[in-house]
Amino acid sequence: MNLTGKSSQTGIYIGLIVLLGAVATFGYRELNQRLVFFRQARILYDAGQPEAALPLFEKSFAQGLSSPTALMLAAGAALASGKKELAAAFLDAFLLRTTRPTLDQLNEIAGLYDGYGMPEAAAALYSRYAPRVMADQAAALRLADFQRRAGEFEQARRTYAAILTAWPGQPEARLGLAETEGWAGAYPRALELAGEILRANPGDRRARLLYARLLSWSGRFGEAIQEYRNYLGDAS
Amino acid sequence: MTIRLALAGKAALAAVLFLAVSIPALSQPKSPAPQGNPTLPAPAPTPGALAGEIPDWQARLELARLLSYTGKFEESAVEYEKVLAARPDDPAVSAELARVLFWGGKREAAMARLAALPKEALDAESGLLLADLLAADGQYDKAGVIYRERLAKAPNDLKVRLKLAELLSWKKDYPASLAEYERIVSARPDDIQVRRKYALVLSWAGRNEDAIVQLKKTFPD
Repeated sequence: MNLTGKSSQTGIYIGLIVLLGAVATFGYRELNQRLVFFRQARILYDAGQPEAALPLFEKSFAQGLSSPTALMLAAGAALASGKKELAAAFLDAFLLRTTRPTLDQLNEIAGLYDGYGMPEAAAALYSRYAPRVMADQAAALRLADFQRRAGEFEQARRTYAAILTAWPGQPEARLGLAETEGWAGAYPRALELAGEILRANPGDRRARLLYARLLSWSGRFGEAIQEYRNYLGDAS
Repeated sequence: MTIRLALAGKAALAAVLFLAVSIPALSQPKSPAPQGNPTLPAPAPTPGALAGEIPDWQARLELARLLSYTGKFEESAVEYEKVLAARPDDPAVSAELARVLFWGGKREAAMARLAALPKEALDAESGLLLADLLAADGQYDKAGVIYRERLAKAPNDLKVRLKLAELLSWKKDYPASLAEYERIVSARPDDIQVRRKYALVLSWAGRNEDAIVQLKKTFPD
């Protein structure tokens, strides 16, 4: 009787252990599907398989996951898979869930956009948070650069002008503005600005190279060749 | 009536033969001529160009391109050589130098440089230049392989298809040449020059009646 009772007790314990194991294995999976999908997606994404990761990210969101980190990672996976609109949707969702994104977060998103050839999206993002971006010199310079690379020369001119008002003589802004004028085809103005930089600092190599390029773009080939030779130290 | 038709046929055939003699490009392979105006793009603003420190080879490459653009091929080649000294494993630069050598009249040097490059390193323009140079040098099979590879990627590139059709005709592989011509003529039925070339190859293949039919289509009614 005792033996029978003992063995049935053992049976119950074993049953309980098996049940706990099953719950731990399958129950967790069922109860935390969104996290399971997210972790699977993360593993694939980190392993360089963004296309495989993307549907799992989407499943995790469908199950209710909405963490900013997951949205950022999913945006990265979408961009890497060439799905720019989907990425933009994830990033919008990220910004909606983040009451006040930090400058680092904005930089990260803008960097993602730019890294996948969307400087216009990066510029638009920065512009939405313009006061905060323009208060930071490096971010302001990046905004101007995104704008000009997106072909928004007028906006870039205004941004560079604002930077030069806030930080007079800022060398990157002076050079950037001169180059932007060149990209916009305003060669006389561009040459004037680059010339001013060179007069103030004849040893500025980037300004000298820009000057050679501006001469070349404007069709003054003979002078451009001479400037390139000066820049390269070939001039006789 | 029959005599009149026969006379018309002979006149048309005579015209085909006249074309064969009077259009050198049709009668024999000819080395591609250096172009007076190089196909390098005009110097133009390049967004992102000043980002970060510019290495000297990059500036020198710009100088080499500018010299080439302005027709100073020898000076340009010197600068390209300097770039290659800094970047010996840059096939794109080597291919550009080959084109400059060609424009400067140094065809053999251009061909040798292009032929030494790995096939996958050649861009479409350089690959086609190599094929043209090989064809002009009588290396039809090698040239044909390049044309066919290009056509596998771009089947609607009729310029290349025409080059292949011509090359096959120079090899006297008339059936293959005519097959290519038929594709071109069917894609561009109003191109009189191509149809005349087609007629010429038909005559070379001994299909004089067909040549006459094609040739007649190129004359105004």
